[in-house]
Amino acid sequence: MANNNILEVENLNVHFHTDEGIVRALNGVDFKVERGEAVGIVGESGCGKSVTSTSVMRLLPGVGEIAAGTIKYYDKNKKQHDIINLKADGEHMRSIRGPEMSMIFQEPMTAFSPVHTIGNQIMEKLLYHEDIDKDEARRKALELLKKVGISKPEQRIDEYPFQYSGGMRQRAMIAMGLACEPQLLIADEPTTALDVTIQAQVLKLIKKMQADYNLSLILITHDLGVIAHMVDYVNVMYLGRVVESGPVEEIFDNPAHPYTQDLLKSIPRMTGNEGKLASIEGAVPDAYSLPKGCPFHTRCRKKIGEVCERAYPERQEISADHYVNCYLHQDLGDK
Amino acid sequence: MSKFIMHRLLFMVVTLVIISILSFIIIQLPPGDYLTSYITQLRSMGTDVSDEQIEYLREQYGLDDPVYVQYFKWIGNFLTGDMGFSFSWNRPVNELVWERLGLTLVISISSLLFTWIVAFPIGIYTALRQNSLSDYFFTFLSFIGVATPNFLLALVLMYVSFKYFGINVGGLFSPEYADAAWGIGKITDLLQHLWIPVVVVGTAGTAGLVRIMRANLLDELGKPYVITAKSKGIPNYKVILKYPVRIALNPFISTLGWQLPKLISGSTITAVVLSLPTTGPLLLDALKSQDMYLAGSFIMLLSVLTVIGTFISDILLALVDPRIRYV
Amino acid sequence: MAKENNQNENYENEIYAASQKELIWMRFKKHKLAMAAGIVLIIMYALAIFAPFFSAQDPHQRRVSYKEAPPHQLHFEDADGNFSLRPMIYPYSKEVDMETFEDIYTEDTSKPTPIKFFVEGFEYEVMGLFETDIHLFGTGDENRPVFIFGADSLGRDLFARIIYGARISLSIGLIGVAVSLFLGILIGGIGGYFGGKIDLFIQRMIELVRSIPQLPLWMGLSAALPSSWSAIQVYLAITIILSLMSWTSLARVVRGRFLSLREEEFVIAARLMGRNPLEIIFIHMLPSFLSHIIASLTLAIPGMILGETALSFLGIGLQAPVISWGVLLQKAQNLYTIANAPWLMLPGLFVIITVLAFNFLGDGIRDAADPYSK
Ligand SMILES: Nc1ncnc2c1ncn2[C@@H]1O[C@H](COP(=O)(O)OP(=O)(O)OP(=O)(O)O)[C@@H](O)[C@H]1O
Ligand code: SF4
Ligand SMILES: [Mg+2]
Repeated sequence: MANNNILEVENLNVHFHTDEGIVRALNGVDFKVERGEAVGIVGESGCGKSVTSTSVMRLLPGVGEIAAGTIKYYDKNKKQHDIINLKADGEHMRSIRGPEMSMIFQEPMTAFSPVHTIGNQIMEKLLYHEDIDKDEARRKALELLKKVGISKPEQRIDEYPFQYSGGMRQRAMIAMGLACEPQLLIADEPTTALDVTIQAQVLKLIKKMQADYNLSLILITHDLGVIAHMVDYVNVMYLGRVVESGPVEEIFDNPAHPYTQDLLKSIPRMTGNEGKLASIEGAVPDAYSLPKGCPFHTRCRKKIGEVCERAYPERQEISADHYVNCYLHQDLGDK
Repeated sequence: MSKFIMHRLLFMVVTLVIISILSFIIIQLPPGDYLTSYITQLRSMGTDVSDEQIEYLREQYGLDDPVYVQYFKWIGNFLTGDMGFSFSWNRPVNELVWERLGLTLVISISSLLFTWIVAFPIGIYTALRQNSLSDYFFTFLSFIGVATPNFLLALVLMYVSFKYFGINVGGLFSPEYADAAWGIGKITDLLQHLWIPVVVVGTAGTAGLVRIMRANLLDELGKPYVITAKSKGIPNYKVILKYPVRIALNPFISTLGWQLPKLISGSTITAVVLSLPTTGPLLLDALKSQDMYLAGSFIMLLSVLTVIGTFISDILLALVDPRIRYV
Repeated sequence: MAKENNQNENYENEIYAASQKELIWMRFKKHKLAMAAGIVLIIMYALAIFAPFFSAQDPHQRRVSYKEAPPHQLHFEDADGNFSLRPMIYPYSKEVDMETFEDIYTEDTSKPTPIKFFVEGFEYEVMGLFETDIHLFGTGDENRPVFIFGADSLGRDLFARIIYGARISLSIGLIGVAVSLFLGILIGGIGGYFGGKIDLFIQRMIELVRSIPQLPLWMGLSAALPSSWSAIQVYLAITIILSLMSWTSLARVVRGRFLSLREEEFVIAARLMGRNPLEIIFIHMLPSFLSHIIASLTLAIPGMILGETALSFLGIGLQAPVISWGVLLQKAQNLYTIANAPWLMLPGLFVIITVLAFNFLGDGIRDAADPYSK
């Protein structure tokens, strides 16, 4: 079967074992990424976006456990890797982490070690995975820094993170992500910590790199506005589940899930009723005790009634490649 | 960097001046001047002291000058290496101090090495195995180590080895070597005796270091840069050694300089209990017999070591932490 | 109207403060070790305060026939094997080993002596209020004293001496910490409150004091105390010497907190209203991080206790006839003594337990007050 996917995540469940109890961070996440495609994951803070991406990279902290699900990755030669069954720190997983998929983090300041030079941290990755010497690694690192638009890379390469500005650090982070030419780049809120003007530059850079390197991209954000120009396909997450997914135009033009609709309303728009920035009412229920049924029923404006509290709604395809989990779109006929 | 060093250098000088004043105050504190008490002491022992002799001594130590002149005389002499005269030993202070400083340094440096060699692996291990049984065990042990006064540990060790092994662990040499000249035999003998004071002096420090190392490392382990490094596909142990351990070590490098002087003064009490021929008992005797030149100069010397140590630490820290180096 | 508003605000503040306290208490209760440590300390202080009640013998009373007598063993069975819940002891009969000239104490099983509770003994005053001669336990027989921790070289009851010594050793920590607290808050507070040049100066000063070697200075200062001073004077002087060095860590905590607090609204408001700085520091700023101060204080006490013990042990701190743990340990200085009478090291056990307890308690308070700091 000709499969053009690079990543397939199915029914992913992740639990954190904390002193206060078990946090059910992910409760059956499904999504896939096609080769060369840019996929967005959106949702409010705490819905599990970062947990999803760190699970894919197998970088969950010790208290985190993948309780169920599958993660399949297809490498450069389309060979399938069953990510979940690999040892997190094993050789196999590490040969994927880096040369196959890599990650860009939210906080470029703290994501670099403060006491090593930027060059050192980029070269480390090259030296570990590729059979090259120091000079060669340095040459490659310089090239990468130039590529992401850092001026005077010969000088900058020996500087420390604190000598970089925020935007430059994120550029360096992208350079590091691109080292070893991975297939899949995961960017976890890459611009949240930056100034608005710089945000646009960094996003543009990511877009350009995606084209230049023919990357598959997962862009994580809580801001639907960012998503619009960046990705082809959107997954909307709520409390550890993907509640709606579809091509980006579909999501913006025909949002089907009440949660997605609310999210769209909260995007500040340049036109129309400015200053009336709607935010979604009610608080996110805490992850220790998830609501039964549709997790959104505690805040949903369109809640049908008792049926929403009974069981989790099934996934429905409402148009080509556009899926939603909500009773509004499920035939309730005999129930 | 050079500006940073200048800053620290200036601070060092100021500190030394203040400490010298403190030391001098300690010399001056006992009622009457020490010469008077020395002479009374001599007379009570039946030694005859002539008036000229007294006059000569008063002159030499500037006892009839105003206090600040006395201070300058004293500190001036100190700087030229003349630390005054010990009345109770009837010898120049220099001779007394240098003689014992060597052994003191041997003990202190060995303790420092002991401390580090034991504390770092345990600190790293317990941080990586947080909340495991071995973590609790070492944590508990280190709490006890911190809470036990050195001298008590020395007492207990002495008691146990005497009671159950029948050996007397006091001193640094067996009787036959105590006054022998240095040679292979004497050195072996020294090494055989050395471990007890090293363990005793080092234990509290080791316990403290384990706790600090563990806390620092736990702090660093949770930082985003660790995950970044892992996301590059580098093996965990390499990541941990290169990043968090390296950063968690910074505070130690920065305290290296004053660890040593701290050990020197910390070993004072142990040395008294184990009757070691080091500087500690000398200082204590000097203080007890109000041999204030000896005591004051000694305190001054320890302080100089401490301050120089701190200075070295600062520079070391700047070397390992670019954030300090570049401000 | 304005007044009403104000009252409302006060009311809300109270609720806030109360729930804050409750939160801290809730988190603290989870720390089993800290709770246990707290209880241990309460027991220690109770022993110290009511030392005469808990002692079977007067700690100063010498008994020639009990020199270095080992601790009495408590028996629950008499010589015939009859069990009784009431413990009893056998008085010692003493012989002298003719070879070593050491005293040998053997139990005289022909004279079982039951331990009595709330028994009459030497007279004492309870907190200067009334006199009594009731003691928690004892034999009630002046000629058959009980030494549960043994006796020292002059035949004095070591247990009584330890709990009398606790009065000094435990209080020196508290008073010393109070002095450092005052210095720390004053100096650290001034630095953090005013900021700028003053702060810089104070930071340098703290750094300076920290770079002075502690033990030699302590030794120098306490050795220089005039021998004519009374016990009380020496006690106070030692306390002050100990706190002279340890205020710095507190000052650093206070300073850091003040720096961040001084930008907060309520402090700015107080300043705009023209309150004087000291008032702002003590009334408005301090209460907002009292729990941190308490934690730092708790962690500072052990250092003081260890300091006193060390100085007295060396013979340049407190001196007999004053009783403190350090003074008691002075008796255990040489191998000969401890080999013959190892129980003389028992005061050290009390030092360790107390220091451990303060450390655990302080850790617990700190974690409860600020779960996010390490
Ligand atoms: N180490 C952890 N221990 C316990 N719970 C955790 C841990 N990491 C994440 N969680 C929980 O998992 C859930 C999802 O967290 P996650 O970081 O994925 O959110 P997010 O969608 O990335 O939010 P944000 O936009 O704030 O980054 C949250 O409820 C969080 O409390
Ligand atoms: S299932 Fe019911 S509660 Fe959930 S989103 Fe749809 S309508 Fe709202
Ligand atoms: Mg996140």
